[in-house]
Amino acid sequence: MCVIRINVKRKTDEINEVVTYLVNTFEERMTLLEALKKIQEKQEPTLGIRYGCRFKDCGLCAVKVNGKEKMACVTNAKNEMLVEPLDHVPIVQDLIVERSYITKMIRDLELIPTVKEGEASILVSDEYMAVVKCTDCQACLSSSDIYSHENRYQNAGPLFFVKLAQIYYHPRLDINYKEIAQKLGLHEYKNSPTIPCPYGVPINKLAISPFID
Amino acid sequence: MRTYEFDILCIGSGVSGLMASIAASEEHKDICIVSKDPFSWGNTRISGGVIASNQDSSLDIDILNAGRRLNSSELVETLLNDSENIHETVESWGHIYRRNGNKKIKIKPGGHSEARTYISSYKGISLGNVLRMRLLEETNVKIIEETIVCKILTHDSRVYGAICYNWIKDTWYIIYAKQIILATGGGGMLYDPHTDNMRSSTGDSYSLALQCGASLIDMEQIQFIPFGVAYPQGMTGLEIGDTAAAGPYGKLITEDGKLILGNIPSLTREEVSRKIALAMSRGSTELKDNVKLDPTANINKQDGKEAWVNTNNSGSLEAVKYAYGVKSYKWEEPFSVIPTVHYIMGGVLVDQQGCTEVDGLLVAGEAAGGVHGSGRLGSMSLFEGLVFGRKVGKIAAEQIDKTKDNPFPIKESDLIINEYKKTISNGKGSNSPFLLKKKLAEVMWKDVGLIKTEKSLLRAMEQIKKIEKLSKELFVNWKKSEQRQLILNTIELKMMVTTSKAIIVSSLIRRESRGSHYRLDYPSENNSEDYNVKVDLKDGEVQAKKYDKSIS
Ligand SMILES: Cc1cc2nc3c(=O)[nH]c(=O)nc-3n(C[C@H](O)[C@H](O)[C@H](O)COP(=O)(O)OP(=O)(O)OC[C@H]3O[C@@H](n4cnc5c(N)ncnc54)[C@H](O)[C@@H]3O)c2cc1C
Ligand code: SF4
Ligand code: FES
Repeated sequence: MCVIRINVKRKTDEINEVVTYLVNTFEERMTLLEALKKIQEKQEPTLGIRYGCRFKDCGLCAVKVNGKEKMACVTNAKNEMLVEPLDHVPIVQDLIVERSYITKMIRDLELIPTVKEGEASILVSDEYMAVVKCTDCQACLSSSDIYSHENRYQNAGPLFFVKLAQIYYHPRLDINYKEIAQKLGLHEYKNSPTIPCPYGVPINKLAISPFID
Repeated sequence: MRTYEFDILCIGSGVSGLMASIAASEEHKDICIVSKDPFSWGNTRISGGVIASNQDSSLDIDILNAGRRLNSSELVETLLNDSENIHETVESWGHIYRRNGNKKIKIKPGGHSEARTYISSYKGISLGNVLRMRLLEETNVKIIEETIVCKILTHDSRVYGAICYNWIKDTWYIIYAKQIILATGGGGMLYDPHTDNMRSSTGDSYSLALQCGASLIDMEQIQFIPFGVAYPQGMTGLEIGDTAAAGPYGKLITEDGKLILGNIPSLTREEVSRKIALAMSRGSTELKDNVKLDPTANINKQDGKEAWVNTNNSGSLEAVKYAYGVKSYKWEEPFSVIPTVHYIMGGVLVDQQGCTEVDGLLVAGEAAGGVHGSGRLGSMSLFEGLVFGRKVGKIAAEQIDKTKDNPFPIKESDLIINEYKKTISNGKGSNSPFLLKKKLAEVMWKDVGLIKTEKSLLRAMEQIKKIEKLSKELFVNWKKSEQRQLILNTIELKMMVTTSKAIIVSSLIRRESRGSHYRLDYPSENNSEDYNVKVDLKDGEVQAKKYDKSIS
């Protein structure tokens, strides 16, 4: 039998602290998501966690593990791990952060393309294939120190730059790049350190540089 | 508590809900789209290929073959007839199917007689994103996400609204609407963890429909995709692939290397899943043994190597790599497989317009039954969601023009919600909905799964009724926001109990084995009698009976 300790940063109306839980892994490998689900099932039914697909397709389970953004479903549970919610995005409860503002932002910032007239080419570039992988997991908002949720209408953050890049590299879509880049506050990121993405989207190279002149 | 009023309420934002809402908004109706997941999430996001339209009759034949004569031929006909220009339409919105030069690439999933699946540029994510973008262009659409519809409200067998709980904001709503589109998807979580579905797929569709007076059909037909991940903990049930994922030379073997089955790609999902189950159980209902997929013979052959590349491109080998390591990923050694719940073929009984017996309730996507009968071919459901979603959205809009204003009953909205809460839990108990859901899924997997018998089904019904009883005494405090997920899961649990019962009573009635339904006590197909099984909720009891479409 093998018991590991998982430390979870909790936040509810009543709690605001790191709580340690013991999880029995029966000497087998276990994903971190599974360990969190076990805690919710057996020990703490009010522990807030968010997930969907259990294997990296849906982008819903991003958390911070020992200070780094990770997808909980493709991270192995290890003894003494510290699990925290993403930074910079308002916490709903425990490890659950807000998401619905993403839909609102796309609408409000008019991140909605037009389709080019005529029989445009449908050949897809490597760049398009690299940016289309984004799952809206929000890890990049958490890891970038430039992003601030309060200022998101001046400085929208990498997730939204990737949305713009998805239009930019699309063979048939179009948008007023200059104006939108301005609206999104892309220039703030001119000298941003490399922003990691769990899905390997090269954010700086494909979603920031092309829009900064 | 808040109330809203719209012409049309669309429940669900997967492919079918998004298509329905787009179609209805194009007709200038006021629409509200509600989803339990974030907006535009659902199984659609984690899926893949889409059937090409404008087929010759061979697709029709393949669909009916896989469904073993239980399909509604009218619905299949509507699907094919109405599919015209569907792919051109989604591409004109920015979706991209992969091409070789100017030609869209087509691949052949298991069970199809020819290559006819298009591949989206990046799986369901790309399709979901394009449909999201398209719908957000429309200004007459209200989006309410992370909100579960708990109950559809009816008066005199006509819908007028729905009770909803926003589990992120911990707020209750009543949304009044004249037409309601149910596009809430499937229910793999009834078999958790033996499913590749999203967490949100708790079968709400079936329970919501039953509870407001609609009927279900073919609920005993649950599709298991043959190759799912067996371990480690947390990965059990994830999809590896269907019969095509064995490669042309893959075979199934026992733990000690004995051959169970070869020539896999020519077989349907149903046939291979059943073979694996029988090998695992050695003739009982209990799954004991481990079965392995041995794909190693592929890597010495040209077409075998190509099959690896195709399977790898589809993304499903990544789960193999993460679960079993690089050698299995490269098809250099056999690995354990276990069938996993992928799709619910049964669903709400609808006519060719997607309408139900309840006035104002329409259904599209995996929530609806009838198209697939007792077996579903790969790549069919995104196609079905696109085509029927669009159709049902249009019909709902037309109905708005036809119906005069229907005054909503004047009951206090607060009262409606409080009455509902009382039916969910007395708030005094100590049981956790998470544990009860887990128990329910264990019962379904063990006794209502790959192999069923009269005995196992009756045992399951007894267990589900026990769970139902315990679920009335849950640990729920409506006033504490930290209970938001507990409340969500409590609402889901209640619906899962009803849907499980519908699956069990249907499985009891079908005293034969057909398609995905395997009865150890009636192991062969009864060729002399083709019938469907219809489920209704009468006086609080879930009841099933044989249903002959030709008579109704
Ligand atoms: C791993 C996997 C791979 C697949 N691959 C393919 C493939 O390659 N090709 C193919 O054709 N099909 C595939 N399928 C099947 C296909 O994905 C689904 O059948 C299809 O996406 C169903 O679409 P839908 O719109 O009906 O439901 P979904 O896309 O599942 O959407 C359901 C929506 O309803 C919402 N919802 C559910 N309950 C409620 C409620 N009570 N209140 C409010 N909202 C609710 C959910 O939040 C969600 O937004 C796959 C499925 C899985 C799981
Ligand atoms: S760019 Fe990467 S990190 Fe940012 S939201 Fe998309 S997938 Fe997540
Ligand atoms: S649960 Fe879907 S990405 Fe982790």
